[in-house]
Amino acid sequence: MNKNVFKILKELGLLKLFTLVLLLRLPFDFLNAVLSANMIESFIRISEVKDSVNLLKTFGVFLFFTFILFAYNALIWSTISIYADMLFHKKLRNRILDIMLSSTGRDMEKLSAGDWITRLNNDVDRTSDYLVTPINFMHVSIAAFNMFLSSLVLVFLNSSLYLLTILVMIPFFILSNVIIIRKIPLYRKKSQEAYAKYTNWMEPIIESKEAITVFDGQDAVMEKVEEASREILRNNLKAHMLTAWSSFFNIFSGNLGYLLMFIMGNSMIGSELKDFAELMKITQYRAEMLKSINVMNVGFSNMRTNVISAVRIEEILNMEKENWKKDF
Amino acid sequence: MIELKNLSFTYENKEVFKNLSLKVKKGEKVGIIGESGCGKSTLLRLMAGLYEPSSGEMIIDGENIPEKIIRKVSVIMQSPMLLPMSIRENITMGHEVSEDKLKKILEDANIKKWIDSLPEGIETYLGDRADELSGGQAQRIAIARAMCKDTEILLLDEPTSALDGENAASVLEALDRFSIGKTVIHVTHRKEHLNGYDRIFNMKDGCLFLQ
Ligand SMILES: Nc1ncnc2c1ncn2[C@@H]1O[C@H](COP(=O)(O)OP(=O)(O)O)[C@@H](O)[C@H]1O
Ligand SMILES: [Mg+2]
Repeated sequence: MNKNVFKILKELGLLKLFTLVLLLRLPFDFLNAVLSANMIESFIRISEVKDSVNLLKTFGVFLFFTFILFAYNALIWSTISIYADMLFHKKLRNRILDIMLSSTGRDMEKLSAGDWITRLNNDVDRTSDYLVTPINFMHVSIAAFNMFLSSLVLVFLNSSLYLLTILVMIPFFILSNVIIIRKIPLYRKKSQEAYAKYTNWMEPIIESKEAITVFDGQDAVMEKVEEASREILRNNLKAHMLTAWSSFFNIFSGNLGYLLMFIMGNSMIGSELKDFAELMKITQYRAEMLKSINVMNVGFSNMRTNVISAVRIEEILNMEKENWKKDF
Repeated sequence: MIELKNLSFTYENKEVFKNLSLKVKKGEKVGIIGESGCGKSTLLRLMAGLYEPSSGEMIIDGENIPEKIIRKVSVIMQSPMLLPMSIRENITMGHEVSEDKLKKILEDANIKKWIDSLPEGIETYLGDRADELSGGQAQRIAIARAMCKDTEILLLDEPTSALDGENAASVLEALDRFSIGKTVIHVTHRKEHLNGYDRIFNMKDGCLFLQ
């Protein structure tokens, strides 16, 4: 986890709660992977011998487990995580407000009004996004755990097919997750700064409305505000393009791997692989692994997108400790 | 030049004045004093075309509807009403102004020296709160802005009340220079700032009493 987010959680006294929420969810994806891989294998086997009674029985068993898993995830875990997220929002906003209200005038002046408002709203939301929603730290950890266990199973089932999967993926993974998304935080930082500039305009527009009217400054003001809003858009767009490229390479490498796996796997049936059902089972584990990697990719890029907000929040939390750094 | 006929004005439910009349000739300088809350700012905003009278008529530099009156007046209020953009943009408000004219304006407004001493000069951005800008400097930028519009009529609403003695003096000096040949209505609670004015009124209970 990013050290700023870690510090924020610790400062708010929520580290334990978030760790617990994470632990509660960690095994879910892998259990689901085991369930679906075994389900596919069983179904193919059963349908080959045309045993319809057994098919229904097996279907019932899998349905039951699937239901249990999803009920746990959708009802119990989701409720707990939403509660944790709400608590996070509340505590963080209160903390910032508290710092604002108790700080000296000089401290307040370190940030413009727009910057304060942006950090209090937008950055708090984004920091929570970093942690929980939509696909972020929480999901990345779960996916990493799932990926690890799925790979372990794959290695045991058929190490050469596993190796193939990995080898195809590595160069694209590096390209996508190291090279392409590196610049995302920079664009997000610029976008947040432009957002602050934009917000900064709201107060003067209200307070100086009369001067704007008397001196016919509507056009100039419109131009300025639009400039700030264009800057938000421009930087968000750049970050978005990088995300899109990154996900393109991820999908490409995933599909390429599938193709190679089927070609190689088919030639192995009878020797290293027992039958088609086993190949399908392996494919399913690989799919789970890939799914986790994709979640991790999206998560990493979302985290990159939002981490700058955590940095901006940390700056405020640090204000009290008087080790403020103007440029983070 | 300025003619108010039986002017009345009411905020939602509060009547500020009723049947107020006033005539000001071209080039005349009129001061208005009075206790705070008596309606001086309201009257000035009416004359600026920022408010519409509840009843009565007003003719300001030949115009009688607020949208047109606005174009005929310059206003300097207690707050300089600066915007988060450069000093230049705050003065010109985005309008085309020649460099020569701008230079003269900066001199007349008593800010040329100070602006020249800034690293970024007239392009200095005013949005950053960290910027050290004194009330006097801010108000003189507001004066430069009014000089840029350069109308016949100048409306002043306590332009120095937020300033200390030295800053107030410098602002008044700039205003005096700017007022030459103009029709001026100056609202203030400090009578000593109205030296040399043609007429001074005391506003009380919604009426103007000549001093
Ligand atoms: N926007 C407003 N809405 C309602 N009442 C107002 C408003 N502005 C001023 N007033 C009231 O109108 C009266 C005149 O105000 P104002 O013109 O600002 O007085 P002055 O400038 O002489 O101090 C005051 O009693 C004030 O409370
Ligand atoms: Mg007033």
